[in-house]
Amino acid sequence: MRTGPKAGVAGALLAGLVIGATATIAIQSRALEPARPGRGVGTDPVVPGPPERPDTFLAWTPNGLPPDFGARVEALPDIARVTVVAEDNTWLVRSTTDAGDVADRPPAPYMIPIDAAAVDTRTFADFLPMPDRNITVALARGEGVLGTTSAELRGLGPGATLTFDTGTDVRIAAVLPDELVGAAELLVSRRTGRRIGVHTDRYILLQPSTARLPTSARLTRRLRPLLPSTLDPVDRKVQVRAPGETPYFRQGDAVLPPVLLKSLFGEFAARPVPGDPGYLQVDPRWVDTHIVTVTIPVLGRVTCNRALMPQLRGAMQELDERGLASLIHTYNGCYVPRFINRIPTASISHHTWGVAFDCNAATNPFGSPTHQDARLVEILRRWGFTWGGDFIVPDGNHFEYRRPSAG
Amino acid sequence: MNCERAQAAISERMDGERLPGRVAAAVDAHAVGCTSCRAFAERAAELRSAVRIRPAERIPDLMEPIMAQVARSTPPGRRFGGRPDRERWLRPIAAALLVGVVAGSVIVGGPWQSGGTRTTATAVDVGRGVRAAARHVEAYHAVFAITERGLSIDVPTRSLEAQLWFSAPGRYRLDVRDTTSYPSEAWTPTDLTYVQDGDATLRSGPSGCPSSLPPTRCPPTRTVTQERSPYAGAATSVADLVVPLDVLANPRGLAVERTGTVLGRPAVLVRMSFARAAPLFPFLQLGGTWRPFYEGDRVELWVDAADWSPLRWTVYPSQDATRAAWEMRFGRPSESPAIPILDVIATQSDHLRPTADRFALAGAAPQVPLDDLAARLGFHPVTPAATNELVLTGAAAPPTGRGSLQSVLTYSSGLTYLRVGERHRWTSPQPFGPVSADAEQVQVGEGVAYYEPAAGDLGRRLSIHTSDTNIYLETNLPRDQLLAVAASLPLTGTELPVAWRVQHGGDARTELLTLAQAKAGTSFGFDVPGTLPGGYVLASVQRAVVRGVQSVTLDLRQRDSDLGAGPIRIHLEAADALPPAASAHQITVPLGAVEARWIPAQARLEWVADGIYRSVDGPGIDLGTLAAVASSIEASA
Repeated sequence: MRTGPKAGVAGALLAGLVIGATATIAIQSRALEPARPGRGVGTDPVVPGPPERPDTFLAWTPNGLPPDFGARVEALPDIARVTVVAEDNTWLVRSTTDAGDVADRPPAPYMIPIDAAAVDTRTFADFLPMPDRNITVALARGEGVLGTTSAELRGLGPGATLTFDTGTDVRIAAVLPDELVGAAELLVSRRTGRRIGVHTDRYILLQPSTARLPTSARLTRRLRPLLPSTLDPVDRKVQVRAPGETPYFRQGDAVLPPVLLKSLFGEFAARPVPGDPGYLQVDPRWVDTHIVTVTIPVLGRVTCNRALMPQLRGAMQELDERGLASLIHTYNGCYVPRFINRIPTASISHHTWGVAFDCNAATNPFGSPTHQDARLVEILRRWGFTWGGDFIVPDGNHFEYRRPSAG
Repeated sequence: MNCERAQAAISERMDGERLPGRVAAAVDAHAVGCTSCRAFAERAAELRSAVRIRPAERIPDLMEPIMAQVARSTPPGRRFGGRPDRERWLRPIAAALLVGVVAGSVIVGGPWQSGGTRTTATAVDVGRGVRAAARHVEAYHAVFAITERGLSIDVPTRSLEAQLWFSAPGRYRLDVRDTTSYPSEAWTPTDLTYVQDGDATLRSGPSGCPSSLPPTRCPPTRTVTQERSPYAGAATSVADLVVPLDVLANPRGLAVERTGTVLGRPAVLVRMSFARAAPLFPFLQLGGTWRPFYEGDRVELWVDAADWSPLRWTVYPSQDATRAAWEMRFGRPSESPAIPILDVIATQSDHLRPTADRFALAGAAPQVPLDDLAARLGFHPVTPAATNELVLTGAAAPPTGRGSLQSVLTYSSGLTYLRVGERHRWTSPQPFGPVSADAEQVQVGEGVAYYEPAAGDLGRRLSIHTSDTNIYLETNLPRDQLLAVAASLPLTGTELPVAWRVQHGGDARTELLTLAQAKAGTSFGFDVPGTLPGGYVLASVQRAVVRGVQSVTLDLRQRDSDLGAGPIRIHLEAADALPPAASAHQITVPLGAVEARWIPAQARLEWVADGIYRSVDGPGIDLGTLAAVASSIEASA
């Protein structure tokens, strides 16, 4: 019996060698089923050719698009297609899974803000990849599409139902990649959008018809004259982007979309403050667990999102260690629950998440030329903060979280 | 000359085979323009060199350790299948046979290729091994050391310890303790607990509060589910930490690289993508703070050749060009593909049965006797006559949220499970359970059912609709065994109602059809591609009319699992030209006589020929394979 197992093992090892080699060779020779006889297509190696330039562009203006802007752009002789996308904050009061189980039920009187986009399904279809255009059938039926991150955040998928404060139910038909829905949490048709509170045209997608594709800068020069001369000079601006120039095709693309802020810093329930609807009353339980007041070098006592503190502290420490603390004359606040510019129809300000802070506001007022020291901007940028001075309407006192610190 | 043939020829040449001059010239010409084949040749040369120089050291070295290890690791009283003497004698032989198979396969050069398109002999054998081990493992305990790199500049490296306990049937516990020294109290340690006892689960994780905040002010998150409904998608499975059944049972997308010794145990190294290896990282889904990982990142897994438990798995950043776009989106710095970003090592393990209190779940609902369940439901749940030797281990009546009643029966053996859900009232316009309306229609007995392969935290699923009731089956049994179980149910499934298969919106319409129906009513010709990666079958055909334009979409799914490589979707539609390029990066590739557009971010190859737009999407599938599929579509057009 002593030699039995060893002999068996040796034999098994030898047999395994033969079996493994034979089977591998056999399987290698038919890893793919053979193509049918045909025109001989596909036997060449796949040698990639030159990169193809994208010919779809994003254009947006501050505080929503002027009336008829999309139609004016479409009337240009060298523009083939345009679709206008509306986007607003809406209020979710309940959601259920496809089995009817409750997924979200914020405690009254609070509601969950949802960044919802609304499109004309006929014109928007041209801006979807052809295999995804069937989804416009469901949109036209009044159903909705969740972006991937939104679906993960909610734990919902096709068959789920979202109920809004207007009493409207939206059944979810599909989940699409964030880049196809402009990183909106929910995409619906124009008609459904109006029923849940989406009214403001925010951006257009356009495709030129010329064989020689324009650049973003050239398109900007073409579109700017289409803005009404009656607009405030501060708002009489247009931002044009090509794919690769921005992570997502959406308005305000210098900052993170709400769905990513929720993923990184938490989702709150809130409501407009009665009698002062430019401000928000946030569920105090969320505030308790996510907003904290601590002492930060250079800035002093700061009230921000807990998750932001290490990065903010690191940036300020570096500023201090490099002898540049004097570049910050005043700290002007971080956590302030409100809409942008305190306008109830605007998007929710990122100050509500406690991930943006203002400094040197007196010398860098909103909409005016900026006077921040380049060294301050550079240090904060390296620590992951984007600067409002680069916004389409400059907001030089504003810094906010954009990415993890790059050191 | 295509990549398959070129790489086989390169292998042969390295083995000393003399290739005919014409073939050798074709291989060389192909390799000049094919980065994939050049990389293959370089890696093959490296590995071949390693194997050739030290074959006598590597393979014989494993024999004694295997035998010694098998003898050591079989605890007293441990029984597989109730025949201890016979098994003890057979196990070293089985282990040696496996090592031989792996080594033999490595020597001929094929199994360690990457690309996710090959089904190799060794990967198949690994799959058999884990399936057998999963069915028989009764208990397991392991301690893992986890090292994570790149969370942030303030915390470049983190250290965590995880402890896992398993006791059949269906009891798991995973504790994760964060031992990192954080720079300040503002950081929240990632301490996690997951307990599963049958259909009851507990998840506990940090609330996001800093450690300085008292627990009374900011308690950890705590979620207890007493009875899981058939919608178990939110449930986390830690079973692959015992035996990586979900990861390794399906050979597709796996590259078995070599054998070796890890932590003193005979082991097999398997390489795959991060997406393919997802079940090995359940702790990332339980809460706390973790760095993000790109789905194409490379995972190297060492698995024990004797008991198939995972010994060590390491994640390396991918060299894939599309990772740069991912880094931009997440604001991540560029990372070296040579430096691991996550490393998990099993520092100790045993197969002793944990005490029951490890899995104690306050408030967990007691199991319900089958007869009592019938009384609660008002109907007697249907039960399969054949359960593939799995035994009934649980019966529950979880709430539905809509007032109606449903049952869930659980059958199991070791890690292998089968869940059978039933609900009489079901009005949602899609199959019962987490099964989509475009799932594959399969024949079950005299009727039909709707099948989906394993994906994420869900096993292989089957939904059966009848005029009286709706049945949902979920399992980690192979597909054929699932269908056999379903065929033993005392009912006959019907096709989904027309109202579920046809949708109208404005002047547009979509409908799910059989292939024959779609072919008959479509204005252009099409067929299932003649070339498909192994394991893919036609799941559904959808025809749509949008703005008066007819299109057809074929969904091809893997037979067993979507892990690592999702469905292949083929779309055809009348069109004169490609749609405008809308992605940041797209390149032109030749496809026979036509030029196609390759969009890496969407894993889509699209082209227009003879007035028909065609596209092939294949997330997780490389360009070469999709080009072969596309070529066969062109050939059959």
